[in-house]
Amino acid sequence: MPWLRDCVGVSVDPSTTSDAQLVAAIADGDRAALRELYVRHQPWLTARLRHRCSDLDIVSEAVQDTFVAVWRDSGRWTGAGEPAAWIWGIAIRRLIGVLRHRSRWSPVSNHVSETTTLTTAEDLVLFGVAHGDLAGAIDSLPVELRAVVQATVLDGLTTREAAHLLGIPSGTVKTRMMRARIQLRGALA
Amino acid sequence: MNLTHIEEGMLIGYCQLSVTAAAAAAIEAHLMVCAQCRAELATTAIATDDRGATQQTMWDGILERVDRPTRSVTERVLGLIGVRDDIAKLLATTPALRLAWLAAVVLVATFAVLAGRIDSDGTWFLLVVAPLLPVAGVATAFGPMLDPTYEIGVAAPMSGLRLTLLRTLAVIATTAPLLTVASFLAPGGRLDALGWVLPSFALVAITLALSTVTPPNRAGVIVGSGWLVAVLVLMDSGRALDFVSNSLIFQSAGQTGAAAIGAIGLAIVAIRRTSFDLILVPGGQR
Amino acid sequence: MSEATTITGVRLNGVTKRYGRTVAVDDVSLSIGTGVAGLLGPNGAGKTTLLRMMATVLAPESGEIELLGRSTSTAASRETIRRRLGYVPQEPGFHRQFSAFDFVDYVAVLKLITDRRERHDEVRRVLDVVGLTSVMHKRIRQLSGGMRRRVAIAQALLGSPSLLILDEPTAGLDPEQRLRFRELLSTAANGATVVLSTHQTDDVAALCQRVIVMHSGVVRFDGTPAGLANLATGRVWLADERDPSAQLAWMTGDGLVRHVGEPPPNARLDEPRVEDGYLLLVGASVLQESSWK
Repeated sequence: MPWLRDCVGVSVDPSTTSDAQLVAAIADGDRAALRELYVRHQPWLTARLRHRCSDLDIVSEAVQDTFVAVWRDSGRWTGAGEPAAWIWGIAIRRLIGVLRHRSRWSPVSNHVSETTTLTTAEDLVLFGVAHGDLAGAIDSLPVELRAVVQATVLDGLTTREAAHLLGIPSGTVKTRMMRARIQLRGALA
Repeated sequence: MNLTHIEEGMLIGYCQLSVTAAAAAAIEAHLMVCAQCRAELATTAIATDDRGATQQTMWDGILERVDRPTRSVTERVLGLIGVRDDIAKLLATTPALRLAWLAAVVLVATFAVLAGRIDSDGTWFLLVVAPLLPVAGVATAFGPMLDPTYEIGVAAPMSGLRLTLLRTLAVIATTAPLLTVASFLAPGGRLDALGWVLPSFALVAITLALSTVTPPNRAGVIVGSGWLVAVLVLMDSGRALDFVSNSLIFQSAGQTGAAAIGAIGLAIVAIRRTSFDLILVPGGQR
Repeated sequence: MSEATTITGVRLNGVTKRYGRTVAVDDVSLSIGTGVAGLLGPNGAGKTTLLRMMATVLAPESGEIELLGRSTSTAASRETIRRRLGYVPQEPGFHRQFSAFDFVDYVAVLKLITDRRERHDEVRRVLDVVGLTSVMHKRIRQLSGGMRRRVAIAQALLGSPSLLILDEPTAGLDPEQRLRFRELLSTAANGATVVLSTHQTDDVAALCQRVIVMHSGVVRFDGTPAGLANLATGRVWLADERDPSAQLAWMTGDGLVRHVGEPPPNARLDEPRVEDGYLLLVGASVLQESSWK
């Protein structure tokens, strides 16, 4: 029985409401706003997390955790910066949380997907990323080193967090990072 | 802002994990700042793999956790000490279980102790004030003036007497321990300083008994003023210094009397228990 | 009017309630079956007192009240009735630190739904019925007046009661919300006895199969809305100008003056409406009330 569903005073109009406004509405306990935020951000979050962890169950759980955390912690959103970046910060840490919880200290290849080279680095130029050399250098890294670069440099995780994400000891993260740096330096020289 | 966006083919590749790591990194960097490409990815993701059902299941899972009600601090504390969840819910609306009330009680008790330290035989303040605190707590715990859901509550099948007694117990459970601590901290206090216990019992019982005919906040005022008058009248010398030994109330006869009055109060409550199941209409017509 | 098949929702017999010297309800006898019955009357007519007695929270001074086939005179039977009763008092209050969910959950505890899971499911259901799902975790003090009304209505729907007593449920709702309230009530009323009080004759015309007009504690009319309108048959006149001697006359939207009662000069008869019948019954006091404002 939909009664007054259309005039419940919730300002969720997908075309006009910004992500930041949605987060503010969520802080007020607005469930429709959470739904809209989910519709907007769940797909890319899932896709991006799948690049960090190949187990779809774990990714789903992390995505769910993320939106529950957004619901509970939306009051802490300062309003500065992109909500997308804030959500990603939660998501990657939730992924680590789920991995730790399941305590699957399995080999790197289980968590980190093997990316095969289908597109060339030149494709990047098409959407305005003009660091072809770096791209090539990253692609040429062995998969376990690439994973470490991805976690620490691109995802901005600490050594500890990266260690949890990749399921390797912190020391290994550090040594692999060193090796990656040397290789990248060599490739870009 | 972004003149160029990610090509659909790249997005499909990204969703299928078939782009190079460097391309993935560039795509991710762009996605963080481009709502249009995020929306594009959403349609692509739905088109390329049939996770539509998964999406709905995931959302249901989120809702299930979001709708798991958050419990107030009071409810959680009550839960910790083994109070049933529905009873905790009832008690959570009792003002006596809120921090503000506890703070007030602590303040009064502290003041009582301090008064005792300044005036060497000064337990009198504690003895006079302590019985008023539970009365104040009970008087504000229920009734037409202070419980905004009073009438809905009366129309509900839960017994009014049960609800009233539950809240009274909650008041006593929070107030009595604090006052007891204060009694032992008061100098020269010790057992003498516990002289407030039986009068408190009597006053609370009389407040409840009066609540069967008048709103509890009014009952509380009547009982409170009655107490102050009684203390003054029954004081022999009128000298505060010898108050404990001089007021009849704190001698054995007075204590026995207080116990008896308390028992009578409870008897009245028992006899008139059904009046808690009907509303009091203060001042007659509205 | 067809009587309910088995158990009559509300049966009053010679019910009287006094406050001091004022007689709020004076020797009222009524029997109300399933469907929506509207209680119409000016302020102070005794509507709230009568509804409170129908909601078991007030005992009559004399007379008998039977609800859902049970007398309200003993505590035990009151409890049985209350298990199947939903009640929205006039101006319901809230614990304002509560969210809508918390509040309805609290009432559900009072309604003795002890199993937590079952209770929460029921709370979600009634909040969905009144369309508050998306804001159910908002604190009540953040909700608009109309939404708070709906929270109050939601708690009354807990446990799908067989008897629903609503004291001015449409007060404070805007016209659109009132329309939707009617829609909701016609569904909720399915198989239940619903008694509501209102000032709005159009609510009665749209919602109620039965209308009871109260005035000064006495039932002045009991029948169908059409029957109430028919009281004014042959007594509603349209004229171009107001008759100075008319007791009940007002300007309508199309610039004509509607007279109820004696025909003014140069007037023509008009179709009677529910409000015409109502005004004929209680007209004088309504006029007095409005002149006080």
